[in-house]
Amino acid sequence: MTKHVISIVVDNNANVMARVSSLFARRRFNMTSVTAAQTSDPSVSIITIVTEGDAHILDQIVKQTLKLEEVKSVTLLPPNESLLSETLMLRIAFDAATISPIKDIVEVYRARIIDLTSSSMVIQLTGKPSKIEGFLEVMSPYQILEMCRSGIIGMSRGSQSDWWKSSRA
Amino acid sequence: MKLTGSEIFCEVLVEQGVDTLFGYPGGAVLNLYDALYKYQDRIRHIITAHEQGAAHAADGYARATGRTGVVLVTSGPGATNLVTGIATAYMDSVPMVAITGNVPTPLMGQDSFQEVYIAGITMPITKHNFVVDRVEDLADILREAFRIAQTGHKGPVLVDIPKDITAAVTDFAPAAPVRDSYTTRIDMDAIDKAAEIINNAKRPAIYYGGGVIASGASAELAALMKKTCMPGAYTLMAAGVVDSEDPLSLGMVGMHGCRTSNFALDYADVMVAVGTRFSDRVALSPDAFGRRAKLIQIDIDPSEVNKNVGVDVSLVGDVKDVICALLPKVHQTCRDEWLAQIAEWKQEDYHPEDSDTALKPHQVIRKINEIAGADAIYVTDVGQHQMWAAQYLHHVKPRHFITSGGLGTMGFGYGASIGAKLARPEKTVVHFTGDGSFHMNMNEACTAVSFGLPVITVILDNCVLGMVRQWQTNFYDKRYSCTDLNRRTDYVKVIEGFGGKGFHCETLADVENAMKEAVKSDCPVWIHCRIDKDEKVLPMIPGGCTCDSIIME
Repeated sequence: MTKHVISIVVDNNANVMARVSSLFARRRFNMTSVTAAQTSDPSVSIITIVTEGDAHILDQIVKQTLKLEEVKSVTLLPPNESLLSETLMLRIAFDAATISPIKDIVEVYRARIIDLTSSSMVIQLTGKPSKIEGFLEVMSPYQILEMCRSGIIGMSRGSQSDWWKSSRA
Repeated sequence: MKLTGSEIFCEVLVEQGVDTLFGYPGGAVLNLYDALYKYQDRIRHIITAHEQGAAHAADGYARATGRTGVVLVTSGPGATNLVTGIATAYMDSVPMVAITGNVPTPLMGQDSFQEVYIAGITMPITKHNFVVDRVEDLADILREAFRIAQTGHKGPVLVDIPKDITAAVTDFAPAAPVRDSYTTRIDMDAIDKAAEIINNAKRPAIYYGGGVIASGASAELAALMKKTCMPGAYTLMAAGVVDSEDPLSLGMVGMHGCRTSNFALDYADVMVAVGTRFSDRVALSPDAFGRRAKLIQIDIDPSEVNKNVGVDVSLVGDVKDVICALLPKVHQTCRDEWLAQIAEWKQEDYHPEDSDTALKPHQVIRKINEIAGADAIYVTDVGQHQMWAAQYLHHVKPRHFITSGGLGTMGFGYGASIGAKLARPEKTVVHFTGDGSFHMNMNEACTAVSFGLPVITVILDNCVLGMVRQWQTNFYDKRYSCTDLNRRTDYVKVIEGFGGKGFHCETLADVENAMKEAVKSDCPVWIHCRIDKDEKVLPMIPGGCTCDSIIME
């Protein structure tokens, strides 16, 4: 199964998120992560969904989503050709022996320590998905107390104008 | 012009050309009904026995006319009683606007009396739905609901109106009726490709569905069949698009379609799917469906392309527009060999045996058909009687066979018949039902009586849930779990109690006499026909199989 990132431009109405997730649920489309927020145009929101599926399922996801009345466009963001970003927060336990190697990793990844107690810290990292995965892997030997991820957001590269008006079928 | 939300509601209905409204009053819609009182010279309101009946009636009205059916009910249970009716319309792409009242805005979300979040409940079974937050938005939301319901791939739309919105006052500006804003963009390359495939075909066949009716493209489809000498198989939803006795008509296709249709699509080297969605009741084995054919699909909905069965060429657009673009590109052809093969299959097809003693389903249906004629509208419930009606009626015109295909809703028929009769009062409306389906919503007899609607109901009573029982016979070793009904309903007494007329029939002559009385009646008539509980719907192709596994006896 291939992972796909889909950017959905929608009317910024109450319920629009429910409509999209209801569609994914009833058609049994996978939803690995989802983010949603208003854009610079207050009447428009963008929902970014990470999903899994073969070419046929992806085709159905795009077409079925586009049928929703409040969806203006559905754009695929191929990972290699797009700007993708995610934020991670990680609460890590440390002691005298582990604090130094943890701080080294934080520095290498240009992450930030945003909360600190005598025995634990919260590390925040923003970056492309592969960076987040890599960071989680090197942190895996340490004691992770809590973790949360924002889900992926993304944009196409280049200078697109009228980005949603052009792609509405 | 300053109007209340309720007056705006009535004004928009009138403006959109709505003359008939099906519904049921209640607390949350008191203001709306108060306004309807003033508009009763322009909007006829039909109160049913149950909100489900109102939803099916609006659906039947829409299917008989092509216009959008409208249903109005109160909040809570009124709204939830619509759910099956809305889902039925959704599955069969029927344009419908459902309006529900709701508790006043300040009480919403508080688990108030008769409050339910109907927008959430109906999200998966509507094209779109609205909750009206401000009276200023009401008129445009209602117009938008009509536009969405009848544009493109048609379907139901729900508008939920809180009670305070129906009392609030705002400016109202009249507008024109909304128009179908859909326009087909013809892809000429794809048209050329499709035409080339059809022109090079040896054994082409058309497989067409309800989309042809929705598009009003019967004549265009018939022209395509004739010009290219391409026989056509219809789905349950498309009965009547082309005369079912036309030499180029193959018959119904699918699980209970005829052998000829299923064989023809299986042996075809080119299949043109028109306004149909390769459902699991037709493409029983999706990987093997049309296995020898190049597939061309014409549909208004791009998401239907490659959904269940992969196709070689897709032509997305309104069926009529696409066929009109395709017609000049295809060659006039004769296909004597292919038609001879089809004629041979027709000879070998399943032909039920007549009986002089017992009532046989096919004989009852043909007798009723003979008396009511080709101009009558035939409505069904769901089960064996539905398939028999589909198989043995002579289908001549579109919108004259009304049945719940996608959802398979038992209890659909009586409400839908009432809607069809109100839409087409000049036509005889015959409702075929079974004793299972009929017990679900026979209470709508009171509606038919109150409004003087002489709907004729033909009950094919086998005392069992025949379709389920048939599966138990074939696939569950005759373990008849909960399908023997043991009911003692006296249908003649029941309909007399409601204020209509009834007939018990033992012989075909009884059926003939009863039907001759029925077509003259000015009140609803029930014709009760006892049939054997072992009667089966044949042929049958089990789910997941191909026509190689067709059951003929």
